[in-house]
Amino acid sequence: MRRLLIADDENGIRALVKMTLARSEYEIFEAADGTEALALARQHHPELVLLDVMMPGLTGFEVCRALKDDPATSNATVVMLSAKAQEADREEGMASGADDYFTKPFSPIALLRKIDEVYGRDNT
Amino acid sequence: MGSLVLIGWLLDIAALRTFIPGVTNPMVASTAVCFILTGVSLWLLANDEGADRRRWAGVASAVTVALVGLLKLSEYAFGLDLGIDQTLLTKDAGPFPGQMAIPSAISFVLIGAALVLLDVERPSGRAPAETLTLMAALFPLLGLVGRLYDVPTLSRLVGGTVVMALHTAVTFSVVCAGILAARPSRGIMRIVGSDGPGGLLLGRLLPSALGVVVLAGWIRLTGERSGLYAAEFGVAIFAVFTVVLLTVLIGRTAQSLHRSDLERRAAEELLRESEQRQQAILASIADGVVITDADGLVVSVNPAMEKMTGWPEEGAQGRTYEDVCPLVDARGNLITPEQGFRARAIAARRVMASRGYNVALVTRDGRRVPVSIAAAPILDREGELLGGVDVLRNTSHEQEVDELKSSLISTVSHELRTPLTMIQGFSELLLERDVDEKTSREALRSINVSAERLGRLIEDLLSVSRIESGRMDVRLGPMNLEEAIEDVGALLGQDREIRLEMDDELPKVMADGEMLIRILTNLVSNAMKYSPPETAIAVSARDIGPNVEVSVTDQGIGMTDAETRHLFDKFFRADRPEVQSVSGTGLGLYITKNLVEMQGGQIWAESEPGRGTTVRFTLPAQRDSQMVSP
Repeated sequence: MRRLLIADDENGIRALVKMTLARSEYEIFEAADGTEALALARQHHPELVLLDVMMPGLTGFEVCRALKDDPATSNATVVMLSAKAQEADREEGMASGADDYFTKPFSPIALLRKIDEVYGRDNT
Repeated sequence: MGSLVLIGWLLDIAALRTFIPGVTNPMVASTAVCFILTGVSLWLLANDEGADRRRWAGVASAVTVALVGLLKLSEYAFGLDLGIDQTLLTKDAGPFPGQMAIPSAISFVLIGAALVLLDVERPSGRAPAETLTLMAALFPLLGLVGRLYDVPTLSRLVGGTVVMALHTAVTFSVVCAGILAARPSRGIMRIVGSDGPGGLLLGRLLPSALGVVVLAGWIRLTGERSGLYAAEFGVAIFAVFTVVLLTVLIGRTAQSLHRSDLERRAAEELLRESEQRQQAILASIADGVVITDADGLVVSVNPAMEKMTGWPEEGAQGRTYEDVCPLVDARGNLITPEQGFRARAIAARRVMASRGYNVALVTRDGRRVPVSIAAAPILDREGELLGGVDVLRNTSHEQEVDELKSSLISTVSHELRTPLTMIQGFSELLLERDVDEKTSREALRSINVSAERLGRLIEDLLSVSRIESGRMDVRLGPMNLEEAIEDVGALLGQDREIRLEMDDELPKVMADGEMLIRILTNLVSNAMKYSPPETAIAVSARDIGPNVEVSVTDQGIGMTDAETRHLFDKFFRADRPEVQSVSGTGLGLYITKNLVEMQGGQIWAESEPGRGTTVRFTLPAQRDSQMVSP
C-alpha cells in the first residue's frame, strides 16, 4: 500500500485531506507538529509528504529540509500546504526542497490531481 | 579738465585755459599735464584687483606726478629754472607764461605719494594715502576760500607770487575726493561708506560744518566790506550764525543717532526674543536636535538629544558630531563623517534623511538606539556654510509597532485562511462527489464550525478596533452574576467538567450583560484550550466588599512569570509548542481585559508552569440599598 504523511496542527485540515483521499487506497499517517512529522517520516518512509508551514516544533520548511537532507527520506515527494501566501514564502518553500507549494485555501481536487501525478494513477 | 586746459594752451584758446569767465588766472600747462597723469593713475588704480601691468602703469604715473611736483618745488626753493613749465610748451609766448603755483606743486607731491601708497594699510586701520590726500586737499581749500573771500594773501600764503587758479583748486578737490573714494573699504572711508552711526555722523556733519563755517565767514566779510557793520559786529554775527547753525546741525544729527540707537536696541530685543523662542522650540521637540558649526563641532544639543545620547550640552559643545552621536549602520559598522548624513546634506545643500530602520545611535554608555535622521545644512544669505542641524528620532517604538503590525497581518492571515480552507475544501468535495450521509454530515459540520470561527475572528478584530478607537458601547445595569456563570458553564460544560463554587447570596454586579457573557466565555474556553481534557475547570465567585471577584482555574500547562506579565498584551502568544499547537490570535485576553476595565473592574492572572493557571477579575457589586429606581 502507498504511504502518505499529512502534517498540520489543524485537525480540520487533516480531516479534509483524509476525506479527499477516502476513495484511494493509502496508508495515511497524521502528525500535529513538525517534530512528530519528521519522526513519522523517518519511521514509515512515505512516498508523499504534505506539510503545513506554521506548525509548533519544527516549521514545515525545516521538516522538508531535514527530509531532503537525509538519504533515507530524500526520495519522498514533499508538497507544502501553507497559509503563507507571499511569493517570498513560496520561494523559501521551493528553496527548502519542496516539490510543490499549495496556498491555503486550496482545492482538494487539485491536490488530488497532484497526488495522482506523484503515484502515477487516477483516483478521481 | 587737464586735457581741456592743455588743448586751450596748445590751440591758444583763452576760454579753455581760464575756464571761468571773468577770471584772469589760467591753469598752467604743467598743472594740466599733472592732472591728466593723476587722472590716468587713479583710473588705472581704481580697481584694486587690476592686473600687475595696469598697477605698475598707475604707480608710474603717480610717481611722475610726484616728481614733477618735487622738481617744481626745487625750482622755487633754489631759484632754478628746470624748464618744467616750458617743456611741454613749444611756443612759450602766451600772455601768461605760467608757473605752477607752490601749493599746486606740494599738492601734486602729496597726491602722487598717496596714489603710490593707495593700497597700504597699517594694522591700526589707518591708511597713509588718506592722510596724504587730506593734507593735499588743504591747499586747494586755502585757494578756494581765498578766492571766495577775495583774499589773495591767503592764496599766496605759501605760493609767493604765483596763485593757484580757481579751477585748479576745484580740480584738486575732485581728485582728492576721487582718491578717497578709490578704496572705500579702507581707513576712514570705511566709516563714510557704512550705514552705522559713524557714517551718519560724518555724512551729515562734515559737509554742512564745512559749508556753514565758510558761509558764515563769507557773510561776515561781505557785510564788513560793504560797510554794513563794524568788525566787532561782524565777529559777533559770525559767532552767532555759526553757533546757531552748528547747534541745529548737531541737534538733528544727535536726533537721528538717537533714533538709530533705539532701532538697534529694538532689533537686539527682537533677536533676544527670537533666540528665546528658538530655545523653547528646541526644548519642546521630542526628537533629538544637534546643531554643529561649519567644522562639524557641536554648538548645541536640545534636552531630547541630551537624554538620547547621554551627553549633557556643556559636555557635548566643542566635540565633534561623531563624538557626541556616533552612528552605526545595519551591520553595526561605524558610519564615517564622510558617509554621514550631515556631510551629504552639506554637499547637496539640502535636507538628507535616512530611510527605513538601518541606522542606530551609539549612546555614551554604549547602548544602541535605532534612529531615523534628517540632516540639513545651515547657510547664510550668500550660501556660505554656517553649520548643520541634525534631527534624530528614536524609532524603537515605531519599529515595535511595525513588527506588531506584520505579526497581526501574518496571524490574521493564517487565522483566516485555515477555516476558509476547510469551508472551500469540504464544500468542493460535497459538490464534486457523491458522498454518503455520514461523510456529508461530517463535512457540513466542519464547514459550520469554520464559518463560526471566521465570525468570531471578525468579531474579535472589530472589538479591538472599537476598543482602540474608544467606540465600544458599554450598557451598565445590575446583572445577576450567578445566572451568567451558570449559563456559560452549561454551554461549555457539554464535553468538559466545569465546577461552580459561588458564595450564597451573591450580590448583583454593575455590568454590561453581553460583555459579561463574553468575558466568562473567553476565560473558560481559554482554560479548556490549555489544559488536558480530563481535568476539570473551576469557576468561583466571591463577595469581597465593594466588588465581586470571579476566578477561573485550570490544571493546565501554566505559564512562566514572564509569560504571565504579557498575558493580556495584544497578539501575545507564548512561543511554546503547547501554545502554538492551539489555534488563536492572541486577541482574546486583550479584549477580555479591556471589557473588564470598561466596566470598572480589574483582571489579573496567577500561574505556575505545569500546575495550571487562575485568572481573576472583579466587577463592582450592586447592593440592594444602592438600587436606583428605573
